[in-house]
Amino acid sequence: MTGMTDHVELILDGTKIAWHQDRIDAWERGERIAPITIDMSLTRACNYACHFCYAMLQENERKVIDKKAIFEFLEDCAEIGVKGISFVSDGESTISPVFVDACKYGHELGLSMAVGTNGFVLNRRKLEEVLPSLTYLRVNISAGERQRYAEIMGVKEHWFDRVCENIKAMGEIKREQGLDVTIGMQMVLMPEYHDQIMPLARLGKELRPDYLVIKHCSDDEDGTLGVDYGGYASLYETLHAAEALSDESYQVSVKWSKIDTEGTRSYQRCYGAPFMLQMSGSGLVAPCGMLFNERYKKFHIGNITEQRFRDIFNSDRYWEVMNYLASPDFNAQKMCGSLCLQHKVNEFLDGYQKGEFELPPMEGEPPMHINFI
Amino acid sequence: MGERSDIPAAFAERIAEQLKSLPHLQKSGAPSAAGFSVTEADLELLLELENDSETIRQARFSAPETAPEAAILEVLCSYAIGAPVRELTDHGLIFALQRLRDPDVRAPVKGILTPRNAGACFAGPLKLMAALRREADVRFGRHSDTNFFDRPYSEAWKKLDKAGKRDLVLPHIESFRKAHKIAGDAFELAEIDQYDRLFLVFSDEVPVWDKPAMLMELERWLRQKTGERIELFTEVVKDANRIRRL
Repeated sequence: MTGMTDHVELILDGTKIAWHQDRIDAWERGERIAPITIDMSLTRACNYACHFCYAMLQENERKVIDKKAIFEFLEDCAEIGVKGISFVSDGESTISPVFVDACKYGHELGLSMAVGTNGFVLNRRKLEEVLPSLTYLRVNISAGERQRYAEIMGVKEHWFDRVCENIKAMGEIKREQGLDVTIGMQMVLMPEYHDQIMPLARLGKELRPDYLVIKHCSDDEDGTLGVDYGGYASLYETLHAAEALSDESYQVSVKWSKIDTEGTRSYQRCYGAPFMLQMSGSGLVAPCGMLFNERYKKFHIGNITEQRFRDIFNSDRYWEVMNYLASPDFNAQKMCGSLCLQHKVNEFLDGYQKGEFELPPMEGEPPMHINFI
Repeated sequence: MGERSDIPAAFAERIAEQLKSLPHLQKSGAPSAAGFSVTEADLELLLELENDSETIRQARFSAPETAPEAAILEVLCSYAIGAPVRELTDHGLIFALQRLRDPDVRAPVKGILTPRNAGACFAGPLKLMAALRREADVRFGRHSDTNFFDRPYSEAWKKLDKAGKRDLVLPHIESFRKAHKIAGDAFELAEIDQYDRLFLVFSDEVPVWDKPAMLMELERWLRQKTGERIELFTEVVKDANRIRRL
């Protein structure tokens, strides 16, 4: 299984890892490769209380990522060869005081920058400042109606109106300034939110972001959030109907490749983390978000508020943890939650490592957002 | 084995040790009961399957007796017995890598160690596994389902109740403390849960950044001493966000 999709302009369901064959070759030679993408947050805090939020399971010792820490981190990333940084992970980065500066500085350093947000505090002034630095900005919005939005996302109903206004403004600013940024909306779908699939798809058509992506909800290995993976199958017809609302400048995509798996993994080793690292809003460096909680302390590597990232990356400890995940000591089918960020990358690398396929020749125009694999 | 210079230092000692005992080596002239065999240069793997299933009942190999490849194939044969053929091709070599590597000697690469970069002595077994995969695909068809094969715990472990498991691991935790001169109250085993995961609680005296490496080292120690794939965790920390609740 390569995990690759047909080459489309905007890949929302698949991996772009095969476009980074130089990094795969270096990995295969046993070199210490810098992550292509780092997904992180600038804070663990959040002004929302989403019912589905995986961050509830990711608590670890909180530290504050201040301007010095994030600037040094970004400089280190540029130096060692990181290509893209997304502020998503386990907190609402837009409420961090360093958010705008971090986006701008990362961009100045030549890094591709991206943001996942609830979109509440991003008013027009902030958007005008930050959008020119971003490759994509994606708003988490898991309902298309005020009342359900408030229920699912744990906020007041009128917050829905403000977020809709902000999404509309994002598109306007993009068009006014001729920006290259992609504006997205994302629904984290629990089967019990089925009534909101079509209202949200229609809302997107009205607000005019570039896309709406509908994805599964992740859960930990103990099923703490109680996601009913068997419940997705009954929604396929509605999901197809939502996709049918796509038009020339608005793409509705379902992450079928993950929803179809019902939360299972085809692989046992995790080879993806060195290519796609996740970091907590506490500054914690751990291989992935599912291992942020203090419970997984044995996988914790360092903290960028205490140590330079380049030193953490070059440490034997970093590679000890990464090698553990690639060894028989570790079984992702038994020891991990469901459908992690690295899932598609893991599928690809596992199949390649087992000799199931050769690296496919990548020809033609690279896809958009290539540095977010 | 002395004449081969392509064995990385991290594997040298254990390969030499393994070469002293090759119970799965097919003696020349001995009758082969194999139902399945693959060959790559001077390496051969012979598998006997259980009835019509894919499960391997017996595994043997032939290789030059003093070559490092013989040690690798010996480990592969031990691993294969009781496993399906696809498990052997999927994960056999990374198991061999781990089994034959001395963790106290620097690995041959600085990044991620895989059979492809572990040294020339793994090249032949890699080709052999690729040949086995091709042969298995022809015989059984290419699998479209997932390989969930896993054997973390022995039957002996599974028969123990929680107290029995605790009694088994506690002396090894104590010996780890002594060997590493760790204070008796630095941590304690708080719980073994329903999935056999061991949860430790640390005292406040242990510096935060000593804990991760200590946990990984202790886990490795317990696995080596018990032969079980013990998993160590610390206690869950609840979400500190004031507005969201599970």
